[in-house]
Amino acid sequence: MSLRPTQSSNYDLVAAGIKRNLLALVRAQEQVSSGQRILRPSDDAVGTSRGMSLTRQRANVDAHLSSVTSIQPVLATSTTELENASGLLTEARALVLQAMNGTLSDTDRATVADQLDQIAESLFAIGNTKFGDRYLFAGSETSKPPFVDQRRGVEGYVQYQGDTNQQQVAIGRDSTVDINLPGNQVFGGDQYRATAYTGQTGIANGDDANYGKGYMRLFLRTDTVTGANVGGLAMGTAGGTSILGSHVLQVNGADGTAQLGTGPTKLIPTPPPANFTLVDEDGSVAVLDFSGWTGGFVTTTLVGEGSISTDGTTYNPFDRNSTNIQVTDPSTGNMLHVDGTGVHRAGSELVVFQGATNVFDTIRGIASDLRSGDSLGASSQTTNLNLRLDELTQGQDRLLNSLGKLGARYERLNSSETRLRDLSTQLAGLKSEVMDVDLASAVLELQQAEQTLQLTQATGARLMQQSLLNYLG
Amino acid sequence: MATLGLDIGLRGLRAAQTALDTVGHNISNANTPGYTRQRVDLDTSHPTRMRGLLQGTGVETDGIRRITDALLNKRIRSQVSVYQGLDVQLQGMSRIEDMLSEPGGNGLGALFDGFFSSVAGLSANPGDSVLRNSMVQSASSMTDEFQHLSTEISDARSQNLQELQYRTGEVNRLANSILNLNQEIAQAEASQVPANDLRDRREQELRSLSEQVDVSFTEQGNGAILVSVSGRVLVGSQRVHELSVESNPQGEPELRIDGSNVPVQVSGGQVGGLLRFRQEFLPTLEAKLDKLARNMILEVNRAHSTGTPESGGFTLLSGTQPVAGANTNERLAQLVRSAGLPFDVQEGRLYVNMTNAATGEVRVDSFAIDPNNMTVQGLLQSLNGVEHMNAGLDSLGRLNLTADSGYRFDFSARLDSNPNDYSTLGGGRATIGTAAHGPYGLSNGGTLSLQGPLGSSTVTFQSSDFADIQNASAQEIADVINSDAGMNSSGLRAVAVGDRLVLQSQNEGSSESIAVMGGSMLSALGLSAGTLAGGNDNSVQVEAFGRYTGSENRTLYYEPVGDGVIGTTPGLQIRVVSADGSPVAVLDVGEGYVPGTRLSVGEGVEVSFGYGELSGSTGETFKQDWIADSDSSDVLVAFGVNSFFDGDSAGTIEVSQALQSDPNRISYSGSGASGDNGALRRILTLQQASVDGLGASLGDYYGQVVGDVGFRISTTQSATAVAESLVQSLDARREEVSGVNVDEELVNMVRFEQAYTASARYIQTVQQLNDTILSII
Repeated sequence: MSLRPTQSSNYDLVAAGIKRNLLALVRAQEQVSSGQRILRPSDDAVGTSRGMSLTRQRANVDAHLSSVTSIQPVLATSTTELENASGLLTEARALVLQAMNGTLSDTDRATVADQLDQIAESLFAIGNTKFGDRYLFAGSETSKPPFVDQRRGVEGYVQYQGDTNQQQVAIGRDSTVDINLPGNQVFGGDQYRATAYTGQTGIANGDDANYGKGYMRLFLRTDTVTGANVGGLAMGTAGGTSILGSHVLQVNGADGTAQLGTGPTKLIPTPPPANFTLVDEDGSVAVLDFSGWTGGFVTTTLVGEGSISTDGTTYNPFDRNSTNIQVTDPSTGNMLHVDGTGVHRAGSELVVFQGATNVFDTIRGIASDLRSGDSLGASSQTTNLNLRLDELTQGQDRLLNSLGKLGARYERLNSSETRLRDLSTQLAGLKSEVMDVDLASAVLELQQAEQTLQLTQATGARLMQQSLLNYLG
Repeated sequence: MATLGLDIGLRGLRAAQTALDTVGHNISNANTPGYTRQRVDLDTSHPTRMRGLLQGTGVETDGIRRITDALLNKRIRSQVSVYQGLDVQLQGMSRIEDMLSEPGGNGLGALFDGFFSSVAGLSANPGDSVLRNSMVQSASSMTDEFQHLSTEISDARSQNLQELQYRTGEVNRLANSILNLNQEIAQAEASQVPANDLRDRREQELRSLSEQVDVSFTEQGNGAILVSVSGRVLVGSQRVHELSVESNPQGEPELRIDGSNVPVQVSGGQVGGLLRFRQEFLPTLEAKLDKLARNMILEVNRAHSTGTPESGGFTLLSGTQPVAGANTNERLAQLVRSAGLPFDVQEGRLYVNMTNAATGEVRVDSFAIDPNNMTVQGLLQSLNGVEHMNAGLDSLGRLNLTADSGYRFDFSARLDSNPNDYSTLGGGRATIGTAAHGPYGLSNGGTLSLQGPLGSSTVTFQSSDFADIQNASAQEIADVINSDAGMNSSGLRAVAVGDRLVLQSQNEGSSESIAVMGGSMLSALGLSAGTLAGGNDNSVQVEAFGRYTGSENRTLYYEPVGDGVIGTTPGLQIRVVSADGSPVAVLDVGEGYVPGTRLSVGEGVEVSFGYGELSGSTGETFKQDWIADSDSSDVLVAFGVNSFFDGDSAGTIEVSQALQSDPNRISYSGSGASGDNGALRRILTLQQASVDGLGASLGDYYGQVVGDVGFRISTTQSATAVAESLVQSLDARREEVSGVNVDEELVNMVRFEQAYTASARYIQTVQQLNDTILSII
């Protein structure tokens, strides 16, 4: 309050007042028209920092949200494909059970085998499903197909060339979700439990541990038989002898019969043939030359020695007295230790590394078994099919298990999506509280500023008009 | 009598006239800026002795006085300096604030978000080339904004310099004007009469000068004033000592007076404000933006340089940061200071993976880096020591890495899936491992006698074969043994498994055997005479699975306990220990263990063992590296190897040229697998994780920088408003004292008009008296 006002100071006062009020009006208008309380950092430094921090947090949440929504279709596709696979496995199983019904003819069996092969093809294609440019069931090696089909030895061999690592996607600051399942855990097992044999030849597990995956065949062959040269007898020249180990031969000179082990007694024809086939109770065959038979009683023990092969081509002799014979399949690296002491006949064995087989090999193996029958006879084929069916059941379980896992992950993604969306909205709300203008109070401020300005202008005008000149003559 | 009366009347008229003139002068100048109202000093004129009385002789004008308050003027000037100084800073800061475009959605913050969003998008589908392109684009948009901000700051700087030069010119102009006025005033006041209007003008010039710089003056006797700035004379008695803007040795502008070398410290006025803005606000902001850019480059490059692209590795990599002068003698610790590299090399370890492209087999090698003792040459040697790696500096001083044909390399933190290098555990070769870990304390001339499958031999260790024979590394000892002719012809060889020495037969098979015969270095090595080992027909297949989830790099050794056959011998175990011997896990691999089954060792790592024989009694072992950070030394970042961002400041940050031309080269994988996205996930965590160099996350640090700018501006705004209102109130006070109140002048006008009329009337009366006397004659 000045003690000596002058016109000049009055004008300045009025001008300053108008300027100040006009500024306030402009500011209020800026806020209302932009909806922002903070238009520049200097409007509220602390609020700016906080608002920006909230914006960054929200962007982070949105980034994770977009990851989640990108991944959902991948999981959905994986689930659909596995559901298809599960259906196929069920179909395969029904076919196998049908085939194991002994009343089917060979042609029928062949038809079933063809169907099974087709199922295996479809499953294989599912295993190598691609989504975009990545393989779904390859672990983290998604640029090459996880399953490659390689015929190794006599058994089919589908190899898995993916890895067991999961692809991960961040769905939150410290949480990730795995988005795929490694193919060898879905379509195959990789934790093998024990080795199973069909067992018809008498071969069994040896002392040392086995190491391998999938299926393997063992071919046992009779090389030499000793003990036949008694009483004018000798081994026949025709093929077909399949005894291994000790088998007792009894020839009854009285009634002209011969018996191998406890097998059926056969009447020796006259004249005695050079190649007479005798069969033991376990189905093993001895072809003997009776042409030099003296006609008397003969009791002798025939001992067969043989060799073993993994592919039916290359044979190595084995020691029937060893409980720890090492057999390695060079094409797969599978290694077996077998006990030779119980071996009593030649033939082929199916070896199963239980728990470490895949469904492709299993189904194809069944188809191949159905086609080729089994040199050991119907009961042996049934045992084979049972072993494989076991693995198929395991495979189905694993697949359903995987489906379950996928389902759980899908659930988790969905709930993450909800959570993230909520969080995003919440952050947007918090940011709005800090940065946005409260329209109601802003409009009020605007009106107030306008009013104050008008009053200032009115009173200013009055003040400026006061002068002595108005009254001097 | 008559003359006295006329005299009195005349004096009265004259006084009233002068007063009226002065009133008129005041009224005319009521709105002249800087005008101080003038008042006529009236005094009675000297009385005369007459008729025995002292008779008054009328009025006389003593002078026309300016009504001014010198102290008030001084306060006004200094406050004007303060106000103008703040105002010019505020203008500069506001321009910068506008350039930031925050907190609206168009500034750097939104581009950060866009970049991380593209990283997240790519991480969900790393094989998509559209998304890869998008990531490079978003990153480029962000770096463009960084560069833009940096350029704007540079522009502000050059604008500031131009302003300074202009204002300095103004100062000199005003100084000259004051000098002229000084001379005019001195001349005018030589006759003892105050030069009121000239002084008013000079006061105005002084005020204008105060707006530019903070000045002080001293009044000289002759009415002239000496004006000085910060103690240095600007306007002298004879001439002006001109102010100029020069560059100091750092290239920054400095004010000099009269060309002297000593800078003038100006703190107020627009000039002072411009200097403050340039010396405080701009550098602080620039430094913070540079720090933000640097840390972004550092952290993103750390993740990217240890990642792998789709191809799984590199056959050729060139660093982007050159060592100045390609000087290979520089110690790694000095590279920032003397070789122009932007980031420090720390003490740590570098892991190098070399993949055989045909077989897919991976060898993991590593070496320690001690920047205080390792030179660039030493680094090259260590890199060249990795099998199939070739390292050198090109002519510009950039690190060049190439792999031998048929190989590719990378630096990812992958778990070696076949850790049993050289098959030193359960392998086909006869194997004896030392019980002690390196470094081994050997002595010059020490011996080791071994029996190999083809004969026996003794090797002698010479100091010349080792860097420090008393701290001999396993690799050095292995090299000595492998180059010894006697050892070779005996069918022996040696390998280093981590820091342990392992002796082997050269060939595999159960017919091979080796034995320790003797030697003076047996106890130093941890060997006992008579230890005998045979070879195997089978080799144990060791496979590692999973991902290491820990945060520290570790090296573990797998040692069989006792001897046995895997999966067969009851109770056979393998112990897993750290390098210092502390136990980590015990794996049961005896009877009941199915060979090939994965066993969990810990922290995400699983190992499986195939069938074979183990021999703990002869010291068989293999090592496994659990790698959390495959380049804990940051040497890759320092040399710009496989970088995502290049540059080292806000002005130089850019996406690497290699990636811009081919976004499919992005190293997104953290494990070497083509479907892994580990490197991208690591980059994504940067969006919210606190960065060591900043003490906050990247986004939050940026928010702090912007908030800080806002805070400075708002405090400056308040200060400016306070200063402005203070100037206004001081001006108002000045008006109170020196301003013209027109009403007051009008009143005075009426007064003096009446006085004039009265004096005129008096003269008339005197005249009539004279006439009366004359009529008597």
